[in-house]
Amino acid sequence: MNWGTIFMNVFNPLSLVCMCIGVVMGTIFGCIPGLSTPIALALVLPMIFKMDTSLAICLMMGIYCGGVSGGLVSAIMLKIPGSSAAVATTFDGYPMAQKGEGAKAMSIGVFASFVGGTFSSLMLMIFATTLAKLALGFGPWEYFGTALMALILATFLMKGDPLKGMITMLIGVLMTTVGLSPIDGVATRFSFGNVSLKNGFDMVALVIGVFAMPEIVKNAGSILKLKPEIKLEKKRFYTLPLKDIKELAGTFIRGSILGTIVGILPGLGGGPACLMGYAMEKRFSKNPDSFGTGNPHGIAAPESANNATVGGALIPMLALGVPGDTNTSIILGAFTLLGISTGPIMLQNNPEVFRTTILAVFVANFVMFALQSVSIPWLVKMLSVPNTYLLPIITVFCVTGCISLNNNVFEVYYMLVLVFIGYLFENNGYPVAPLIIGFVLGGIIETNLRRSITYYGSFQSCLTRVSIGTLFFWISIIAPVIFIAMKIWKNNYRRGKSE
Amino acid sequence: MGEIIFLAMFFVISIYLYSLAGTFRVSKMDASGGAAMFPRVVIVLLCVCLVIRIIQIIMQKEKKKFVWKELLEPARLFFVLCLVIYVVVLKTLGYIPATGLFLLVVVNRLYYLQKRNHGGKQEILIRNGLLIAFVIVMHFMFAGVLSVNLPKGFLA
Repeated sequence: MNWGTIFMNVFNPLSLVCMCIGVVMGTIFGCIPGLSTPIALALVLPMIFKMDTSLAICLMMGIYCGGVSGGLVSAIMLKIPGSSAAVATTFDGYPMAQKGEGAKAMSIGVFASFVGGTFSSLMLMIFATTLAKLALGFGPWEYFGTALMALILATFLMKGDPLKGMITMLIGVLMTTVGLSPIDGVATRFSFGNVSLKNGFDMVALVIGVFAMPEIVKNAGSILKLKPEIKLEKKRFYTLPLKDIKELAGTFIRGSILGTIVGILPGLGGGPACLMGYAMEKRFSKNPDSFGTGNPHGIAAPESANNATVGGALIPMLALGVPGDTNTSIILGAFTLLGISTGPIMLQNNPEVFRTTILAVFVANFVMFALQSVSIPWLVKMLSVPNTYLLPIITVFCVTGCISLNNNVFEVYYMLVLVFIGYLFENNGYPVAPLIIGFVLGGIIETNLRRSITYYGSFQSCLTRVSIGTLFFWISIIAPVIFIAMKIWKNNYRRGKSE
Repeated sequence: MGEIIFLAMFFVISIYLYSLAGTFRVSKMDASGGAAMFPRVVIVLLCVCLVIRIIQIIMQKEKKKFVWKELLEPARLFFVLCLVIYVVVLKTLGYIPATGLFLLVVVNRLYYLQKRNHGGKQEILIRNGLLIAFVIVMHFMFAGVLSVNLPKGFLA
């Protein structure tokens, strides 16, 4: 492994340009309500597999970092969080903007995002490599156990009804079985004689179909609403004075630690992290009553926590090849498109790509800080761009992206069917994220399960092995039972209390 | 009721797929359980979850409405219909005409619905000119730079 190559992968001018484009794109998609980081990632996927690997990584990491942070702009100026990761930022950000301290609120948010993101990328540097080295001895059974556990935990820890999550997750897994069967390679499953389905569904078309386009359709309903005019005090650089940094230092660090831990856990991500960060800071505060009225700590905590999930979520994705949320699922899919094996093998086969990714996240946070510090006024203006133009243009990008996957319009046809399914799921409380994670992990689970059965003779023989794979398998079976039991107990307790 | 029909649809598809799994070709060398093993396990689990959810809905005292009628809201319905027509005619008309028409129709109509006028002459020219320029740039970027075979339609 050549460290010089890794540095050049990230610091060459073209990579930095890609990273800047990624940060700008991510921030815009993060700050406009209705658009999101996964939509931005899904839009660039069709272009990524024609790009150089390091450029693609820089672009994606830029989008990921910028997207998680971008939500603060609309959260502070409009009281509408650009993404779920900025919900808690509205609590104190908007009151500050109302008091004429919008610029200060923005500066705190941008700096907190920078601290959280940088801290978690340092943790990523330390833990991803160590964890990947530990996992190098993994065989198919261990891979199967790890992927299954990640899938189950992601489904059950995610917000919403776990049963509905299970249904969408299993539909996602079932969709991976379409096409040529792995291991034996003789059976073409559920393709109905259609040559285009022989290779199965495409992940990009699936993400655009069930995730991006339903959001566009949903927003099309409110397209007639005129956007409000927003005013912000003009400054050249939206940075925080040293005095404020000193005052908020403890909050930044607490939020960053919490965000990194939450990020590592599958199924949580930026949304719960920012709410937990806010709640924790309120508990730590000597003046908790001031929260909700424009307390700077109420912006610093959630913003550092939500950006710290970026590095945290990338730890299991890079080290074990298991994504915990929609963003990391799409990034993992992108690695597959680029022909990179993920998980511990990545450290062995592509150590430069592994470390380039880690370094790219670290640098992306600095790029994000620099760009957001000067571009806040433009971002605020972006909030006024009417959806009349935005939505049709994004739709054209989605359709063109789908065609470019296999130079075929077939992907657009099933994408259109998925739009309706995704819309009905999303609007009836069926989370779509487990479907995407199920689609990404389904193939890994089947391939490694069948390899394990071939290797050890039968499934029962696999279960009798003393291995981390067996432990993870049993956790995957027991965890849902515990979750369901706890839910029933909680419901009974609430019912008893209300009676 | 809407949710039950929606879930029942998945249930029926799952049962059909389960029956199809029996027809998969089997390799004599394969000792991994066969191509049908994994889809069958997933289908059984999915059917169990679907049945539990359907029972849950039937047992619920407060019935929740199944959200689908929002798709019929004028602006949303117009957008969705345009999208469907765009996708359907894409191959026949070709990328540039279909995309151009989609953008011109959708943007101008939504602009009118939002502001109750089409704007001044200059504004109309700039708006539509920029949209056509966008389509040409997209075509150049994907077909020219990224070598994607975009549908040529009747122009071919």
